[in-house]
Amino acid sequence: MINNLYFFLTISALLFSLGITAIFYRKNIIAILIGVELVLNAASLNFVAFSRFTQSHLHGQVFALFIIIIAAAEAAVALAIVLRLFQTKETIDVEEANALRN
Amino acid sequence: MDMIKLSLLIVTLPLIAFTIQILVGKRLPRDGDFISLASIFVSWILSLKLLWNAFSLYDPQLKITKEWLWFDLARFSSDLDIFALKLPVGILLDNVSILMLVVVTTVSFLVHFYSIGYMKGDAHYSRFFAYLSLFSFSMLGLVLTDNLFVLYIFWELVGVCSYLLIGFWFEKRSAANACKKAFLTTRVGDIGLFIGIMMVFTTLGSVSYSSIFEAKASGLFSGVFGTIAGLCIFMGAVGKSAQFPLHIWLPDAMEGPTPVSALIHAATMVAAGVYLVVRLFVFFTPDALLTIAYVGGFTALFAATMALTHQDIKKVLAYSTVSQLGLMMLALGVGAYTAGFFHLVTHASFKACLFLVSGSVIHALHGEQNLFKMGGLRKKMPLTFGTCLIATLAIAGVPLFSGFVSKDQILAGTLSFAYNHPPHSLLAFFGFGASALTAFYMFRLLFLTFFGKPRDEKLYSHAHESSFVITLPLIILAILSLGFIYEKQNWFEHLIQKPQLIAIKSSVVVAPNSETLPIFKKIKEKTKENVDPSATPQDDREVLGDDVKDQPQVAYVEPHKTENEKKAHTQAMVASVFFAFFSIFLAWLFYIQRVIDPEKVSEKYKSVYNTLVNLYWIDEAYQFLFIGPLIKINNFLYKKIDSEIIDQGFIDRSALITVKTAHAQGDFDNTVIDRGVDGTAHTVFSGGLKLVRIQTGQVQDYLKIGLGLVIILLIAFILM
Amino acid sequence: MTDIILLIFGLITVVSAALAVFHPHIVYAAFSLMLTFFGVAGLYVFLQADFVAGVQVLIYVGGILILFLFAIMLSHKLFGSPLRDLQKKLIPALGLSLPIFFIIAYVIFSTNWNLVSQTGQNETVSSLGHLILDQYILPFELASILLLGALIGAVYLVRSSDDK
Repeated sequence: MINNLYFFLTISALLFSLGITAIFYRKNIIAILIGVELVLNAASLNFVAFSRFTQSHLHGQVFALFIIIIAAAEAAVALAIVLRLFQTKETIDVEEANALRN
Repeated sequence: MDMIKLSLLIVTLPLIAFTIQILVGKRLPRDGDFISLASIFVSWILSLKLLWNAFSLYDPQLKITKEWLWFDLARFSSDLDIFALKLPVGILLDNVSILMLVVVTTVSFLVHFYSIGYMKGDAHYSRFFAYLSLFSFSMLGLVLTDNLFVLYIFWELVGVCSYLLIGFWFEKRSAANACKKAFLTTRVGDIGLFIGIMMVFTTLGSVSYSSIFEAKASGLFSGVFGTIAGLCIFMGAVGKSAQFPLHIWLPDAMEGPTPVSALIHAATMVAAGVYLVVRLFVFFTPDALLTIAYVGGFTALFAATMALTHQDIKKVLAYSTVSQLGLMMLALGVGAYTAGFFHLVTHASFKACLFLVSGSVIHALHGEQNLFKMGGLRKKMPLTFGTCLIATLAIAGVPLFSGFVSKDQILAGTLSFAYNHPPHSLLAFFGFGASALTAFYMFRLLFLTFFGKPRDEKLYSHAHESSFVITLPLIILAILSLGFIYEKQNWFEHLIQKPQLIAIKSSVVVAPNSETLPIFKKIKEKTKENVDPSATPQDDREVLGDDVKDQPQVAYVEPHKTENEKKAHTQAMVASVFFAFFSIFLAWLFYIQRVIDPEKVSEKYKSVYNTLVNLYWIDEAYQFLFIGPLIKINNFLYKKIDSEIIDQGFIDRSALITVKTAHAQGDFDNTVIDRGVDGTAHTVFSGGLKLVRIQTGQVQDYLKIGLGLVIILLIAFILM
Repeated sequence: MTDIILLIFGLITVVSAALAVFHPHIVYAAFSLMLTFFGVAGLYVFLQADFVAGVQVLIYVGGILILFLFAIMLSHKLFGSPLRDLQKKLIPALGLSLPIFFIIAYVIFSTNWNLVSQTGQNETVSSLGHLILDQYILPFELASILLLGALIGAVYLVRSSDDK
């Protein structure tokens, strides 16, 4: 009964806004990346939900796969950058990464 | 070449020389004096040629004219009114003008020559010759012209040259004052001349001599109006020829260099006044002529008295000039036309000689002009002494000299006039008195300068005879002062005869001071010209637009001698010779033999002496009567009106307003505008400072901004 | 029955996501994230995307999360330093995310979705394989290149300066 589109889309919306909250709420860069992962997952869920409940022929799932691929690549590079940042600044507080200030 | 062209050349050569001299004179070798000298020399030769022509024609009625139209305003006015001015300019050549040409060019040439020696080493040598040429041009133009307006132009030009030359050494205060005085005094006379010309012009509409004579012949200018017009014109002569009461400038004019005094203030410019009276002789009414005679006669005696006591050699000669000019005016006034003009010609030669002699003496004594510092120069400067002696004998009226011939005629004329008009015997007294005094003071000058013991040994020891360039003109002028030149056939009396008007019938009657017609139409001829057509061309008149006037309006007649006149002539001759020798004897007594000591005499008659020495205090009187009050009025006007009302009242106040306005504007500029500009900049800057806080360098902040905008967009999408 | 389980999975997902967001301790947050991934995978199963669920667990939990944990370990001073961090203010973050949520919710509930009846699909793998290598071949290749680039880039980025 609750196995309908609206449920999944709501979950997705919740995940998405939680991810946005994480991006803006946390100072730790890795926590921000957690937020990014949440956003990606929300989008992915969205795609799959639409592929299930609309006339989509699994296109959504394909796209979800691609999202996973991209998320993996992006997580790798982002964490590499974080490690780099840590090497130079000895901290992963995002507020310390303000070289573009003014 | 025909005579008109010759005369044109004579006039324009000095003008060209002036132009060259004044523009590039300094850069030429010898400062360019040869240019002026050459031009005046050529003019001299040409005028001698004209004289030769006149002699060959030997005609008292000789008259050659040529006219050109200078400007014509009639074309621009529809009806023929007084402002339809048609001004011709022309040349009139008759015996009078030819003789004047010869006189002017001769004296001018000799003065040029003399100046080469006299002005040598002067800092402004070139300028001097330029001015001399300009003066020669002006005087020659004055003599040649045939109408009053052009005469007035040259009259003023001659005055200007006189000013420039008197004030030649203008760095000297006294010279600067003297030239100013000369110009202003003659100006007073020129006002009269101008008024006279205007009176003639407004009546006639023309100012040429021929139309004036026509008008006079037809009865105009005969009454009071004519007398006044004549006297006004005579006022110009009074100013220019230094008659009383405008004689004050001539003695001061001696501040100029001696050649200037010789040329201008002895022979030519001052003679211009006499020339004017000679030209317009028929124009003057009998009353006017009488006035002229009285003025001239009084001046003659008056100036002679002042010359008796003067110490400066040039000032004595100046007063002598005034006196002789007075004699000329006297002669013309009593009707002795030929005598007056004759005296002008002879006076030119011996007075110029006397001035050049004084220049030679001054030069030899290194600038000393005081008679009482000279003496005994006879041995040191024999040539100068010889020429001076001849000239002095001429001016004193000793027979066998030119001065005697002319002066004798003048005195004869006055005496016969006195016989014919007994109430005016005073004129004869003027004439004889002046002549007697002339002889006295001239010989006083001669004796004091060349005879006796030298009063200043140092000056005397340095004195030497002057150089050739100085003495040659002296010699030539002395020769011209001899009497034999004028003896042959009495050529002078033949050529220069008294003019009389021919009564003409004109078809037009013109009333004075009413509507006029500019040019008379037809006149009947009464005399014919005896001009040989092969020698000179006929009148070449080119008066455009109107009928040509063919015939002269005056005929020159020899005054027939009545019994009275013959008797007067003899008496005058005897008396003048007697007076002359008596005066010379007196002078000899005074200054050579010291029988009568002049100093004791001056002590005894101290008041008379003082009056004479102070020149009758006329300068002081003028200062008191005219100049002082004028200056006071001037100062008062300046102080009250110019200074207080205009300067302080208006100008200073307006300046103050301007300054205050400027300050206000400046403040406005500073505060408002600067604040505007600075404020804008400040606003932008501080705004920028505030805005730059957006750039935190935090990624999250940037994302916030982006996301916020996206939300806004989404809301906008949803709502619409 | 299945609805209850679905609900539970949904709750697990959301709650663990919230924990991941709000927990101060980073490691705990990472592990909550792991739980979120599992929850999402379960939801995929309910959406009949079995292959995607498996890949999700495999990649996300088995790869990305491990990566996260390594990064956490490598970037914290381990001894005597707190793994907690101070947080920023909540209100600006909520001020952005709540509107987003409501907007999305509004769109969800106000759009007329073109729903079809539930279609059963058992064999997804081969269909997915067909799709990937048929229609989506280009993105597939690009994705592999991207992975290669990311690999090289990540390795390069982390090299220290004295390495050659």
